[in-house]
Amino acid sequence: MKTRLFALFLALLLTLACVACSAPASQAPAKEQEPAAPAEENQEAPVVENDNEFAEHVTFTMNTTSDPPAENDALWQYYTDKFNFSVDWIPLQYAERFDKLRIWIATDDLPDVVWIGLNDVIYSEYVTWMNSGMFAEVPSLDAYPNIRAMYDQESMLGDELCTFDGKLMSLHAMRDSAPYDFMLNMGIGYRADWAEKLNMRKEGDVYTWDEFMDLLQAFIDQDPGGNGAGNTYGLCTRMGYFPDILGIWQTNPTPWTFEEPGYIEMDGQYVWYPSTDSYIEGLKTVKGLYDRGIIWPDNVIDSSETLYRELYVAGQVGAMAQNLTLSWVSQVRDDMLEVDPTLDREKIYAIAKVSNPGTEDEFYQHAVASYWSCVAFSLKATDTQKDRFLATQDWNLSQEGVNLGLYGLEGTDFTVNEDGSINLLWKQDETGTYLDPYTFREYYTRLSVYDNAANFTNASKNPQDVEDVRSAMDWSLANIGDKVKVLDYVQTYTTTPNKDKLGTFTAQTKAKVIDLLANSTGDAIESEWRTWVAEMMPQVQPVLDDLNAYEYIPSDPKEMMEWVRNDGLSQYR
Amino acid sequence: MASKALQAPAHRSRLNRLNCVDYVIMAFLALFALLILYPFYNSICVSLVSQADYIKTRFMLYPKNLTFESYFIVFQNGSIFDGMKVTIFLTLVGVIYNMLLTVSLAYGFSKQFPGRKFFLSMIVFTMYFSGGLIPFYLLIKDLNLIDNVFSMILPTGVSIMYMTVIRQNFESLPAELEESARIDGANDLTILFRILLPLSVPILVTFLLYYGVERWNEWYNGMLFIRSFEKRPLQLVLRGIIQTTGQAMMTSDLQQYNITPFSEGIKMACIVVTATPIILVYPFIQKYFVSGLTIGAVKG
Amino acid sequence: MRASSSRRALSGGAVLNAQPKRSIWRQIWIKRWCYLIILPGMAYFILFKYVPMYGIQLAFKDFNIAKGITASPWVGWSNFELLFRDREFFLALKNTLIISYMQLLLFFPFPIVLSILINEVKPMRYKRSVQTILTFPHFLSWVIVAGIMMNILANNGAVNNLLATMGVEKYNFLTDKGLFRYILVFTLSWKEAGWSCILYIAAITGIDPSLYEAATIDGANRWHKILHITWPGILPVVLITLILRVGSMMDAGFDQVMNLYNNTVLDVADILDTYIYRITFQRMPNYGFSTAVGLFKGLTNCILLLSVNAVCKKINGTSII
Repeated sequence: MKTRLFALFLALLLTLACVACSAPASQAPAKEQEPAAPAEENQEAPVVENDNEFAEHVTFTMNTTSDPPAENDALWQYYTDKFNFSVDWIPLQYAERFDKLRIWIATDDLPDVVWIGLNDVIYSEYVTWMNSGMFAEVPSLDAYPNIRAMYDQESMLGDELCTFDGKLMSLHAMRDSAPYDFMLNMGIGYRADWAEKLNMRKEGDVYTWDEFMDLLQAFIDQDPGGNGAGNTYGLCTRMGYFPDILGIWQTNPTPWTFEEPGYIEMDGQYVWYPSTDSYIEGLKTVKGLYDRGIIWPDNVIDSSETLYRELYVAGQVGAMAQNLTLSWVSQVRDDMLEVDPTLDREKIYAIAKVSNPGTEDEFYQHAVASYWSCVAFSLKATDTQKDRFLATQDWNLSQEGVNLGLYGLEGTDFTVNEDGSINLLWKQDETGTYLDPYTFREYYTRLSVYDNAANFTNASKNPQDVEDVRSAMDWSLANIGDKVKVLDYVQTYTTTPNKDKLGTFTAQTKAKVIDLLANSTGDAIESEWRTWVAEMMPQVQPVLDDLNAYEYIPSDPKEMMEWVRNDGLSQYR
Repeated sequence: MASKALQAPAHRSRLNRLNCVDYVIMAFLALFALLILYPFYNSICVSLVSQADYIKTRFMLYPKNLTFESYFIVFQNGSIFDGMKVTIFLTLVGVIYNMLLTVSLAYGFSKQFPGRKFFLSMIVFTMYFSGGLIPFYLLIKDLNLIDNVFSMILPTGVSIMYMTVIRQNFESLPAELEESARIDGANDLTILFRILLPLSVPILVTFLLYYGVERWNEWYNGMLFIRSFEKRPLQLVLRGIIQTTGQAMMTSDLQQYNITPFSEGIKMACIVVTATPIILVYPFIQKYFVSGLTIGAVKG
Repeated sequence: MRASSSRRALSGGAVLNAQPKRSIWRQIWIKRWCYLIILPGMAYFILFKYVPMYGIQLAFKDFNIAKGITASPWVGWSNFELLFRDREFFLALKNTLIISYMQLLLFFPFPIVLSILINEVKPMRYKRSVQTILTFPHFLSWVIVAGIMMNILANNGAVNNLLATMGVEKYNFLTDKGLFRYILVFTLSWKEAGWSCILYIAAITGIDPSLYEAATIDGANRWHKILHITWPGILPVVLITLILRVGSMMDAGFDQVMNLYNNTVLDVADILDTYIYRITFQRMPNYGFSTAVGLFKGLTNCILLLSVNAVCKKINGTSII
């Protein structure tokens, strides 16, 4: 009797298990037959006649970090009809974009078209992926002239970094285009209205290092914003950029940031940058600012990604260092005007042009990599799928494509004037800001991140902001452009066993810097730093040994570019 | 024992008189509750104001200019409703699956049988040693569970802690109860359902709640295994919304974003959306924590 | 007193199950339904936990994506050597143990005390509302809690603004290495105490009310009742959670520390999990290395669990296994 009852109980459990296991079995084949949703989409009368070229309807899977286009997205409808294709979007959360990709690769479960959030950090990993045989070669770009032209730009390296054994393995999105390419686009915005109040604003916002720091000191002491004693701060920045960015345009930035190598060439040998005198000079400069109270004290503990910005917008900070991009400047200004509409747009976040604090040759600025993401094809991708993806992306880079990507549909969203300028038809809000009717733009810009140069001609942008950002960038191009250190491709884009295993010690270095800023007293920082470097050296040395074993160690940038173009990298992969 | 239970009402009235110690306890708890409530309340306020208002007053007594902008952004993204559907399904089916496995294991292990210690050790072993992510992913792939909602249900079956507490609870019930039931001719299943489970209601409800909330907050397996937008659980959808807005702020090199959404407000709105259903359900669950089904009651 | 009856109940299971000696197969046959009933649960553990267990070999291998786990080359103990050579690892290990120990000492008893206090509240509505409110912060993620903490303790936070208006100099609480671990304990108590106490309240609910009534008649005061009825009533649950907590000493709360710490307190805050996280962020992920760390952690935790389990079994008969 009781056995029977237990059998009943078990049967219940097992049924549940069976339901669970049969469900996938019945669903899996259904998935392969698919694409149900795109087929429906197709039945809705196509807006455009398909060219013969795209007679066959193509569907491919592709991962995305943002939301897929909404069902009623007219622009995407038009676009997919035009090219007779559809995409099955696979979600990839931004925060897990590397982890999930790693699992997909390790388990051979990639989408057809794979977007990779590629930057220098994961470059050596990227090399192993491309060498693993999980990815397919990109077809010849000869059939796609716009893509070809983008990679063939004179000043920057294009497809060389993604070519392995002569095979192009992925297409990367260019970060910037001429003439502003290769610039580390960082800038300090400051309260020019406060400076005017104190009679300290300089013509054209050009300051020497000391002048600017004195100005910030005056903000703190004289409190032009009326925040009350102790509530006005000098300079703040985003957590991830602190403290390196405080040297924008002037002090040694960046071996501390993720995107930069921690090793530099000196007299034909690689050394660990934190161990150099130049680095310690920079450290002392920042420590001086911290001790004077010019740096927002919470910058050493902030991890919020937003707090520093809120503080600036709230009028508690005199200057904020961030990426110098048009959209950033516009957003900050918009938000500040929302809090207090009586302010003057031009003065609330004016771009300061600050010169070098140290001796001219000692401090320099690093260029950044020319891209930060790429697209590759998995082995599953068919030739038709690859071709359709490339054809669409090639069109995106044409003038027609750029207009669609920036504004939308000609006629409904914009018209082109006779002189080629754009007449934008979007709705505007009460302050005159254009409201973008489309939420999904990712696919149109997959290979070309809209950079500053492109944005300066973007009709939807605020003309005042365009003017301010453009003049700041032109100033830095004219004044410090030649001091920008070209990215060291040799160490960034090659792999060695110890470099892969040990990395650049970026996190430790940065942590120690911040720790010493907050916790060391005055001049002790130099000796404490040297002690720490000495402790680290045994771990760092193997990487240095690897790098110094290279036959070619670059000292001249032009020569290095030539070396890379001539396939120099491939021998170190 | 039964006669003493009958006297209960008389004592209860005497118990109801509060003395000084009662007030001290109540005051302490009130203080702690206040300490908890204010930041929580402030979070709700943040979800109801504009960025400009938030920047002006970070600590609010009440939201001055009420706006539902943050909620609008959260809900305008239609996938939140898909997410809710998936999560409700996950919670209902998942909790039944959890409780069936957990209670059956707990009941089995509350008995002595040859090999019991071996099987228990086998289970405890899995708390500390695991094969890692890649073999796990391959297993789910081999089971054909990729992009299937059951990939978020089946792999999380039993919490060893919950199983152990329930087992302990079964073991601690007076042996006489079971013996007398056996003498009355009850079999094991009757004993489980008629005696052990009713007597363990508060503990079972606790773990029902714990499992339920874990299911409700599920996102990790969804992140790993789900490949279509409409099958993502609620938490993953919300995570996506928070990240997209945060991303627009952080990666300012993505120029295509024209608006800065108020990410702090959206974060808080997401929390309200997540927590409200559970907070609403909680009082219904709470009534099982009040001594109702007692040993005496079962005996009677 | 009455407490003895609940004591006896604790060991009841063992008494009931004492069996005369028989042949092992005979015993198995008699208890066959026991195997049946644990079958689904065991099947779950075997399928989802034991089948992927072959991945552990990665700790001794150099993982190669193209070759897969089984075909990757063996490297002996080199992953462990990499770990034990790193001085940061030992710092992280030390911090993990200290933070875990502090949480055990300061946080662990808190929900127990809280649940006893809640149980002592007589007005029903008050009791329920307090209990409900205390569970709220469980739904705030650590990111949010970190934000709230910044709003309160940062240089321009509420406390410092208050100090400033009173003319006292501002103090950077969050860069204070001595304070940080206490902040961890405090925020954990704030966030999780109410949620954890649900379990203890449930255990208290399970206590036979007639015991309290009888004790009242016997003239026991509040303290006596707590000590002799409530405490023994929840002791088994307390011990189980204690054993499991000690058995996870090597996990000091990744999510919490990750969100609350900053570089200025790294020396005292970096725990094993955050260490691993940072390591994998700046280097190429080394699956062999992280599996080795996981194995080390698991082994240590397991030893801790077995020791504390043995102690508890001796004292009180409570045991996980």
